Amino acid sequence: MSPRRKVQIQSVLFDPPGGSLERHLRGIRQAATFLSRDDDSFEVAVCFGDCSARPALDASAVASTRSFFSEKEHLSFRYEFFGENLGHGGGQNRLLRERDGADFVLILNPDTCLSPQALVALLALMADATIGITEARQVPLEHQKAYDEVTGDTSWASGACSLMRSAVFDLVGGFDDTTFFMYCDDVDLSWRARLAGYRVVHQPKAAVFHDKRLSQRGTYVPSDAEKYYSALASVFLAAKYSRPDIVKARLDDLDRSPEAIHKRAASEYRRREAAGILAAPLDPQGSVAQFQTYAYADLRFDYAF
Amino acid sequence: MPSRDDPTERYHFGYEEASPYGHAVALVAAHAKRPGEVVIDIGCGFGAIAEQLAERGFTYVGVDLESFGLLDLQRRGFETRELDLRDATAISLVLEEALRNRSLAAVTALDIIEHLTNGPAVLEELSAFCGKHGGGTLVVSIPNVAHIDLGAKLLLGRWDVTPTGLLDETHVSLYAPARLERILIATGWEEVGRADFELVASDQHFPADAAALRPEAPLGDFLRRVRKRAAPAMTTNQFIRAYRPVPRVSGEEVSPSEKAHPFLSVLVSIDRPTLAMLEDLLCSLDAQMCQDFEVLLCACDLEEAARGRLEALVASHSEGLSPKTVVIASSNTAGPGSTTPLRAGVLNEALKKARGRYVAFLDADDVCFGRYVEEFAILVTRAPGAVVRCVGAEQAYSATPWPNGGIGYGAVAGPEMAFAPRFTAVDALNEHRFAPCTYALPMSCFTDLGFRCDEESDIGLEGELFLRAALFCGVEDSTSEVTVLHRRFVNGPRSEASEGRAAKIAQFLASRFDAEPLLLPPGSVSAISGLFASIESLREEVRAMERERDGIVKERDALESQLGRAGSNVVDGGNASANPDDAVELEALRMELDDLRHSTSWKVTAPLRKATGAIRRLRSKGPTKAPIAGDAK
Repeated sequence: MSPRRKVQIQSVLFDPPGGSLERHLRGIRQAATFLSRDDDSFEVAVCFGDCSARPALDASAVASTRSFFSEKEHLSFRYEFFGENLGHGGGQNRLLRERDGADFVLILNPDTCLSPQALVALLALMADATIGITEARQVPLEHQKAYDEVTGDTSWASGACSLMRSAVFDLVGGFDDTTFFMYCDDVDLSWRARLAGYRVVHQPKAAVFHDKRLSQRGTYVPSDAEKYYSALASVFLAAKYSRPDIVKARLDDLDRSPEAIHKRAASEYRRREAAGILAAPLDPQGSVAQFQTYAYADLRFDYAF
Repeated sequence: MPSRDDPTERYHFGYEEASPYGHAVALVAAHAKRPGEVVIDIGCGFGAIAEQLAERGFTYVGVDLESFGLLDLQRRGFETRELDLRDATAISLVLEEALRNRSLAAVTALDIIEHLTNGPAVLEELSAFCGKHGGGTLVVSIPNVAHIDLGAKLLLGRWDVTPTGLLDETHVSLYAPARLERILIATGWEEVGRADFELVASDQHFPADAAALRPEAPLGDFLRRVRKRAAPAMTTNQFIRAYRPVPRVSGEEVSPSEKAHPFLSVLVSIDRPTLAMLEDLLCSLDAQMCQDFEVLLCACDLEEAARGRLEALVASHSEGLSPKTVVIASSNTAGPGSTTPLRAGVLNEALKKARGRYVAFLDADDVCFGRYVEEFAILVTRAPGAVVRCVGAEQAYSATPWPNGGIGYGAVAGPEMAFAPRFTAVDALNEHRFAPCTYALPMSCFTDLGFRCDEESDIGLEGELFLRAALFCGVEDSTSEVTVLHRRFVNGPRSEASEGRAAKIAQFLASRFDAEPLLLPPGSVSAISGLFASIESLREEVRAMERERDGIVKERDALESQLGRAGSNVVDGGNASANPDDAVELEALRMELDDLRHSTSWKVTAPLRKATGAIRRLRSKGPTKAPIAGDAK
């Protein structure tokens, strides 16, 4: 019998919309079931870290979910109510630190639903020791990042659904939750993994539903929080990867933006810069970091949102 | 000559082969056990079929309450018995007496059941009697109140009760096809044959010039087409059917409660090229916020191995989707190169099994957003019974292998809003590019209106069905977010069609809708006259541009001829430098001509050559008809 290996599936919750967690759990349960049929040497631990103001799962929901998972061999469920909003990276880090010997960690967004084969397809690539992170293919809207047609290598792996080797997490010290609250923490983690010599690989055979919304006119309509944190994160990322030119250009854009939220993001960056609390610059040669207009990879196509 | 006003003569009809009686006799001969045995004719009246049955070797016994018919039969040498059918309990006793231990061939009940308030009880007794006597056949003749003549007249507010015929004033129970079937089944009978008597124009075909009645009038034609699709027996005057007694199904057939029906039945067409992409769709159905739906996977032309993969794929969706999914596979194999008629057949099979209140049609390579089902449900709340249409986008995909082997695919562009945001009938008739994935049709289209996928055509499968449903039911458009994505392949086996195919579909739809009167919603006249107005204004623009072009051409010709003269003068002089003034003028003319050729007006009017030619050709064809196709957009 092969030695038992463990994979931890983890999501960070923040006020999930009604019905979305049931869907999320449906996906996890069937992917875990499919894995156990495919390879029973895996132990799967599911854990939710809740950043909401009030628990998103009440005691009975936790109990019923736990009992569902414990019905199956080598499956478990853990729910942790953080009582504070740690941000995405902060929440993931806390769950990661309590991973209890897991060899692999699957990072999920709570607005996803795994296809049955997703976990098996992602784990399959981990047989290659050079691969540090594998990323699933999102439906209905594919991510537009380019990937190598032969090897699947890509610039970064989306935190919506990526499988990571625990060793890589330890090596790079997890998500940079000091710099990033939301957005770009996955880009940063991928780039640090690549700087450490690991490959980041797209796995299109692993499909995951990601609840993206398009308006009636086919455009993406971000919330104010999304606009603020994504704008801020993009400047932090440029600063962290030694691109003062991009920092300047982004700040100029934000200053010129008619949206007050963008101006606020620019001033928050300047505040941190003045306070000297920016991350130490990495990758001065630009060996892994890629900056397109609003992207951190070459793109196969543009959503033009 | 006896008068029909005389109540004893009202039903004294003679026998003709091409009559309900003739059909009934033929059914007895075809289905009754053995000649020589007894046929009991209940409610026999004057026994119009007595001689015919006797000629065929049966022993005829007439049974009725009215003595004048029985006396007439006796005079003609036939056995008779008196029986009051209003008391069903007396039936078996009287029939046993009539049979007198002889062998029973059949019981006939011609034009009698509709006169009885206790028809079902009588039928039940007859089933027991026939069952007891070795399975004697029952032949009934019952008028059909679902004849188109009655339906069309009811629309006009007319219900013309007459002394005899479909609306005989003494009929107390009326039968339409479904009711007849239901009652016969419930009273212990199984149909073994039918020879319904058809009359295109029944005795109710009056006033004959009413547009609703005349099949040649567009209104009459339209009503007939609706009626014909919806249910059988449009021109059946009399149901003439043979049955054999079977043990009665105990209890009324209970229709499943409203609750047991899911909101939506999602029919998914799967063929060989799309099977590989089905997983994305199933994953997106797993992820629906509203889970009140069932999935019918319609496997078209899949070989056994592929079908095995399909079953395994469904089984892998162990959380919710698998239990509410059925696979419907084509039982027959498709001819080479033609899978679509087969596809229509499988879809029709699925429609019979679908239990939803609405039906959506997806292809295996479509993919849904999380609110796909929910948005349909919201639209139906807003407009119950209407065709509902969600917002769909289209995204270009390419078939390319995935890393590490295997077939694959990927998006090559962002989603486009390729479909009209609002459904308008006039545009839709001209559009020929439906996005089937954006529609859900009320089940009533299939159960009440009798719509089906067209198994004759290999193109325009959904186009005709959806358009007809939209015209009949109306359309409620979503104004919310995108909830479905059509993935349009730019290469590979899924690559969609060329211009040629679109034109073929257009032609097919035109031929289908041209063959019948068209039901257009309010506002269509303005929409059509708007098209004509825009054609006229385009023509006016073209004429203005033609005039401008003619002016420019004239100016150019003048310049060119000047240039020619100036040039020849210079050449004639033998030496260009001989007259420096000429050379300067020549250069100036050349520049002027060059400017003109590169001027905005010249450029603007250049494409006109083509347009003008087209307009002239159209004009020569006729002033109104032809331009619609070319100029409407």
